[in-house]
Amino acid sequence: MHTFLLFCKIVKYRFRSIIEYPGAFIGGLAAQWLAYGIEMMMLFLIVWNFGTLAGWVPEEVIFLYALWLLSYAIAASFTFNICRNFPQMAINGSLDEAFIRPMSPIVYLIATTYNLGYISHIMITTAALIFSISRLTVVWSVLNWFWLFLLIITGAVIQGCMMLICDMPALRTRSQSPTGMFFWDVNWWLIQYPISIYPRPVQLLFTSILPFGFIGFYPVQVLLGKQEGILPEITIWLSPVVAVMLIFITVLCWRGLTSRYESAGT
Amino acid sequence: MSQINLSEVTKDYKIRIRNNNRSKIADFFRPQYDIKRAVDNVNFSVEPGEMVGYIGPNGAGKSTTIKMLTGILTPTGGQVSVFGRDPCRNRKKNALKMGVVFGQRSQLLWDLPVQDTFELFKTMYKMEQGIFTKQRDRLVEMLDMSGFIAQAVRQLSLGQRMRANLALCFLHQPEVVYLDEPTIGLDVLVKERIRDFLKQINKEQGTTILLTTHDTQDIEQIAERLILIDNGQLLFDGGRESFHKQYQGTEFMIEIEFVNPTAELVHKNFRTHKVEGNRHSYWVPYSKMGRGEAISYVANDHPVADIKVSELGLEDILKNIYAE
Repeated sequence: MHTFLLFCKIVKYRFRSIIEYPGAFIGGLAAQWLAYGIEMMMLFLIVWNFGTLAGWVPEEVIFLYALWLLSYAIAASFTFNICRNFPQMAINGSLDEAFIRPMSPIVYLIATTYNLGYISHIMITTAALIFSISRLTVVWSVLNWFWLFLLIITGAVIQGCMMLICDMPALRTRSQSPTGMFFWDVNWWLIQYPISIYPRPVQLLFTSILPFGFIGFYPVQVLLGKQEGILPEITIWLSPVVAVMLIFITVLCWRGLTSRYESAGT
Repeated sequence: MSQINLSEVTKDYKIRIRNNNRSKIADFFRPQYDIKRAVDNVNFSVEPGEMVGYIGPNGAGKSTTIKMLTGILTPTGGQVSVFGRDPCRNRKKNALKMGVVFGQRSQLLWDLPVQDTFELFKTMYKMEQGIFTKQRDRLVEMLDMSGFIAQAVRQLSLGQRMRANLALCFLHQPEVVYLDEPTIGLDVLVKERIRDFLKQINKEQGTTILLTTHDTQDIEQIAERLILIDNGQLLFDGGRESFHKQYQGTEFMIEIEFVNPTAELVHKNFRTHKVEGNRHSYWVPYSKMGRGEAISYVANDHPVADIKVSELGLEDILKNIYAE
């Protein structure tokens, strides 16, 4: 409980630090709204003109995209800056500070590098989510609302953990990790669509080693009443399990990669 | 029981060898490495309430030792124990009872007032409101911070930031504090204030302080005990007085200004350094003649305008040691 309260307090001060520069903050928000608004409109127009995408109607594709972007925005709020800073932490020894605090170093770093800029993504995707929910033919029971909430959280955890796992090798290599670059490209260009549009080997990859399918594609099917993919039906319920597994893998990677941390001269 | 204990501690770093005679391609695909021993079989312990100056030239292994004590680095060999625990395996527990300042690396929230970092540390170190308020006000007074506590950190001078960092380091009333060059780049007044503060807080709260510095005044004024390290090896561990005795050399210098021009003094224990008119200077061995005896000998036989006895200062001693 203390760790949670401390985490929230660090984020609160980080928030206050960011809004010390209101011009930069508001300008950033406006730019993101414009960029993502156009991207979302383009996606909608493409799917609208195609009619369906591997059996997914435009509202469903927008719903999937909005969930992916929302969970990405929540994850990136906490992990984007830390991932970008890994090489410098190793080079200039700024990781030292995290090791002398009475809390988990990774939790400390996540809190102290919180990025408020992603609030623009969260706002625009929330609007897209409301739009798509209003047009979907889903019966919104309490359980469905709960599942929606859970899949946003698990999607964020999966994306956040995958970002950290892929970028963390930079602590050793001291430059941006190739796995990190790979993650950003795949996540950005391939995952916003239903993965059933890809060949079976790619689907298998996104369901196993790179579990991008569990961010949105599989769990969304619970709500949409679909059963697609290359694995048994239970797969659509597995996102929370994948999220927990990824947390463990992230912690293991962190421990392994920081065990031989060498700091830098002071 | 010692608060800090290092037993046969070594720390090795892997250093890449850049050989100009080797092809760049070979160097890229098969880089060669060497092992540099930064800390070599170091043993010492520190009791509660001690103020220890941990000194040595650049690259001697001082910061590496402190980083092992704080749990940032894992030793390659030997055992490090702080509060009876391995600092690497007990980082969180030990962090609650220790404070650290690394040179000019700031722990403050850059864009916010100093008092906000204090508030954050209150939660971080689980301080009760009453104790926090009392300790904060005390530190603000001791370090004369009332004029800038509500000011954004980015608007502070280096000296103000360093004082704020020190206050933050002592806020949670740590039992052990590591200060890695806390006065680097500061003006004489700020240095003086910081030295007074450290002496006072050590006296009042019994805080153990391990200080690394290149400023000999810091050592002279703060440290009762000195630990000297060079090339990773411990060269001296003892009181400041015994350090002077061990390293000050075998002779002192007596400098005399006579009232009238005087001929060179002839004494079996005096070795002439310089004779210029009425100004003379001589080397005298400690083992043969005391300082008082030498002064008496000079003053009894000749009218003296001024007389001065010089010993090697800490700075001279360190210069000699580092140069060897």
